[in-house]
Amino acid sequence: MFDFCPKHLLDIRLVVISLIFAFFMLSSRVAFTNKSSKNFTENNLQAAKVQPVAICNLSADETKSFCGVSSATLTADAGYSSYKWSTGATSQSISVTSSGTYYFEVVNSSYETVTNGDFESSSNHYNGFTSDYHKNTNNLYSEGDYAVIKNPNSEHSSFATMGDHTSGSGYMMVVNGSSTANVNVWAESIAVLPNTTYQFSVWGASVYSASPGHLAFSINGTQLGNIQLSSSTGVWQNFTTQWASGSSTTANISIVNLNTDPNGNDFALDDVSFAPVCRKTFTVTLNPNPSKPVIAQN
Amino acid sequence: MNTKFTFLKAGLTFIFAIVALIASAQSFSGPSDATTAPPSTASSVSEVLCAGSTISLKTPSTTGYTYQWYKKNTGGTYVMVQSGSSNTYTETASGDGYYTYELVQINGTNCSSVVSDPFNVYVLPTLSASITATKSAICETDATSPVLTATPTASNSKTSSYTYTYQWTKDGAIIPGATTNTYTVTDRTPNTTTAYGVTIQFSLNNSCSASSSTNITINPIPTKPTIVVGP
Repeated sequence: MFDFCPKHLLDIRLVVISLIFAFFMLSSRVAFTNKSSKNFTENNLQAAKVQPVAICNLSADETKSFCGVSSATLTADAGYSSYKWSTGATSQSISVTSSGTYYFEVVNSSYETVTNGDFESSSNHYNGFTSDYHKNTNNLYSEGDYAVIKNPNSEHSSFATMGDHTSGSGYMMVVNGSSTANVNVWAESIAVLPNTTYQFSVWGASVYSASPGHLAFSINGTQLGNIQLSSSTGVWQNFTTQWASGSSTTANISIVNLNTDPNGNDFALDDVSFAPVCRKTFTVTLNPNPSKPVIAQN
Repeated sequence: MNTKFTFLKAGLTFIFAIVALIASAQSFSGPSDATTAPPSTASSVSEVLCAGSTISLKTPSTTGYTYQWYKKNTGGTYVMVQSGSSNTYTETASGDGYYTYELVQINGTNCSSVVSDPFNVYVLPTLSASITATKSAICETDATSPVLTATPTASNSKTSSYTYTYQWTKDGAIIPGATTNTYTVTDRTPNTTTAYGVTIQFSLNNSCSASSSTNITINPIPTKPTIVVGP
């Protein structure tokens, strides 16, 4: 087919050039996909915009039909620390007894977006967040001071001796509540994907029994809710809520203390988390079997 | 290259289609079981049919259902012989013995029923009848009457395993009460040749029958001679 006339040689050159071009396209793509980072860099965010599904590694939604059974078992993808089913169940598998649509949600902690949310950052325990409080690594006797430490009592003799929430022996943010209202105790600006649901979770505990803190949470100025801490010290209380990004690409998360009582009002924060929620839906149909047939002579 | 693959693909598709067709419903003729002794009564099977009859089965029809008809093979395995929307199944009996069927129905959501109870058809062998007569001709005054004996023969060498009913006829008319395997000719009307017939029926299904007939001739006796004085 190929005789070596110049025209065909040109064709071959074109083919070679196209191949080289294709190779570079392919290799750059590979390099791009290999770029894995826990935090969303701007590049990753752009990539994720093209394929927003990438942040959820759940198997595809399923339509399941069953014959002649009164119940069916739905099993969520393995590998997640907790599950939340539309039925309220929190187990990996659920048994359903009627046809319908069911779903479970998991938080994809591989895409945790809070930097140093557990205050365990080895390079700098104060990394990632900002605070309108006054950082004081010596003591916490003044209202409006905070420190990231392992034991509240180590910077205030009246504060409880207690472990953090992460491991019981790690770091937490310990705060002497301010008498000024609406001051950010903790804030972090986080790049988010639009049209994605995130779960916000934080743990708080009183470190002094008098006038416990009352923590309120907001994203981009919208209140998410609040928790009234217990007067019992060292009791870690959780606040969890979901937030849908809509068109937002940034989530400015802030935690304020609604209690401005200078007497007491001292607390600790730990394990601030903000990660995408992934959902898988099962459409289940429980069909009855037809009755046992009877053969008759025709 | 594409053309080549298209041909290959078409060829493979064709082969798979054939295989699928063969695998989907294999009909086979003949009984599921030709060796077991005949049923003692008709009620011990679902149906008793004559040799060569059409086996015709049905189940109530439901819209949207498909029906899988199974037939037991001689190895005892149920083989699907028909699958589709038809709620009836027919097969021409070929050979005597038990023909056993089962049915599964599948609804519109692709759910299957349990298997039906087996439907057991017993197909009788071909029957033939013969008559043996002690005499085929007698004289009108003979003291000994001809005795006719009817003998059934089943085509499957199990003749003695069946029971039969008999009905004798005389020139085609039923002889009332003549319902055993023998008939004694009592008629002495001279100068007659009469056809005596018998119809033998299987007790299992009396519509499965065979007939035979034989002629009996009654000869007149010559007139009583008279002795007169010679010429």
